[in-house]
Amino acid sequence: MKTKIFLYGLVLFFVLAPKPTYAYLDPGTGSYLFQLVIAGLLGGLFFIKTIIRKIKGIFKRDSSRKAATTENDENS
Amino acid sequence: MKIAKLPSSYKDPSGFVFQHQGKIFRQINEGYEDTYKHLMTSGLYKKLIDTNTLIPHTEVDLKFNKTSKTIIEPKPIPFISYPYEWSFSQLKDAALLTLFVQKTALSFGMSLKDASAFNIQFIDGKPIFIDTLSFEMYKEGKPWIAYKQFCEHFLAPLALMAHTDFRLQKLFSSYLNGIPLDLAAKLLPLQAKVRPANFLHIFLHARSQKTFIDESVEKKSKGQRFTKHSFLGLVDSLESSIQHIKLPIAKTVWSSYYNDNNYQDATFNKKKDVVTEYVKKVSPKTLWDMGANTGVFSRIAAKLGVFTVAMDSDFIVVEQNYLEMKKQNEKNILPLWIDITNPSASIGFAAQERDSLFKRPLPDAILALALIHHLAIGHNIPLATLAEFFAQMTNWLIIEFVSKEDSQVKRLLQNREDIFPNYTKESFKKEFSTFFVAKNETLLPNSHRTLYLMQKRKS
Repeated sequence: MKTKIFLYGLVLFFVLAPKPTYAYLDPGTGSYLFQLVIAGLLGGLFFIKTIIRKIKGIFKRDSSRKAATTENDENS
Repeated sequence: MKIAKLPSSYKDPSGFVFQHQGKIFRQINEGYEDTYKHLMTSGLYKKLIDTNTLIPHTEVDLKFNKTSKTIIEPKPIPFISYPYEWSFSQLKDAALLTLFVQKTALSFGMSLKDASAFNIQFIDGKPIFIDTLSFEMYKEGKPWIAYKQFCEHFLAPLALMAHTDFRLQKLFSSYLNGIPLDLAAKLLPLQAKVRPANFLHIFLHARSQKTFIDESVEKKSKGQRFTKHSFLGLVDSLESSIQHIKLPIAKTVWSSYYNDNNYQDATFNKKKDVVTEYVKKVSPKTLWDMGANTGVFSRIAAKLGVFTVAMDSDFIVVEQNYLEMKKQNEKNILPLWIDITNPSASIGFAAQERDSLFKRPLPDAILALALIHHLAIGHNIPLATLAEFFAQMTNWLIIEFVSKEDSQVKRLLQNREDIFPNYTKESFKKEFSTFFVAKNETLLPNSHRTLYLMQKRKS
């Protein structure tokens, strides 16, 4: 009896639980696993890049501020 | 009523595209309704429309089979083109657009479930994403499902064009699902293979496809997560890879055509005036400029408000044409890499997925300048056959006849036997008069070239 309930439960679970997935595109096993393999590398590079961009941004802001000030000085 | 599903719309269970009373619609299937609602209400749709990166649509009230499914009507696209007809920069811009859409989607909790180059079209020189149903809810921890497709549709063909040979773009018409990465890895020269982006996303990616074949993702991944930070890193890495691919400047026969041909300024200006006059007379809505070169004459039509497809068999002039219209922010032109003697055929599943050039809407008028001698002498196509060919496509023809005394024709004949005794103005006029009535004829000064405006005879 217990087994039957369990089986019914299992069937019910498969019928009701999984909503239809619409991932119709096969990601390719290799491509999927490859992303997991390089995840650390991608994350690390992105982290470094973000920092570099931020630093560059500060300098840019600085130089544009300077340029703006010089312009103002010239105008005044 | 039966819905006429488009033959290319069979892959995605989220919905499908169909034609009804000459208009294009998209049905959204029940299972996708919630995702679609998220796209519309999260602010993502608005953001993409505001940045002119997604095709706008309206929801319409079309009742089919008494179902209450959502049906949307996207803004019409003037002319459907395919990646194997694009120049290098068109494909590159399409790639960058895809990544922009993906990054934007991620910031609204969504992600692209495919990254097909066929999801992009060009309107007024700018790429636009046309598949409204490509979005899915982003699931933290999962890798990008469309990574493989992105590499095959964009990164591999762009790298091949830049590092091996730009003509490899045509591989796309044989591999509609994108260039297999192992093939790209094989074809790339060593100096390209060792570039970090190619090494990672093409070479190692291809190797891992081989290594992990038939492995179970669940077993192998051991519950390992792909964090959002890594996901953003992947998109960023792909973006900078694409941005760094540059086409080496190549000079082909036609890219220098206007600089070293036999034109005198007066002749060239007269030609422009006559073309302007003829186009104005016909005032077509659509025009194909066949053998458009860098688009000097396409621009005349485009500026008169005529939607012009500028085709040429020379890759570099198509590239130049596209870059020029991008620079000048021009409208109404679509430069395409199409060889008239071997135009795109109907291909894909059941040979119906991608339409041949002639299955797409035919133009009101055709511009065929400095073309006839290449077809008749360069390709041995009889004048009678050419006349019939043009008559099958259009009602109005603006065509230039270049006679044998012209230096360009002499060049074509210089190292071969002249087997074209019938290549004369008289027989040209005679053969074309079977299908067309010549309305105007203008001999260009100081040249052996004549322009004709012809109207198709009513059958």
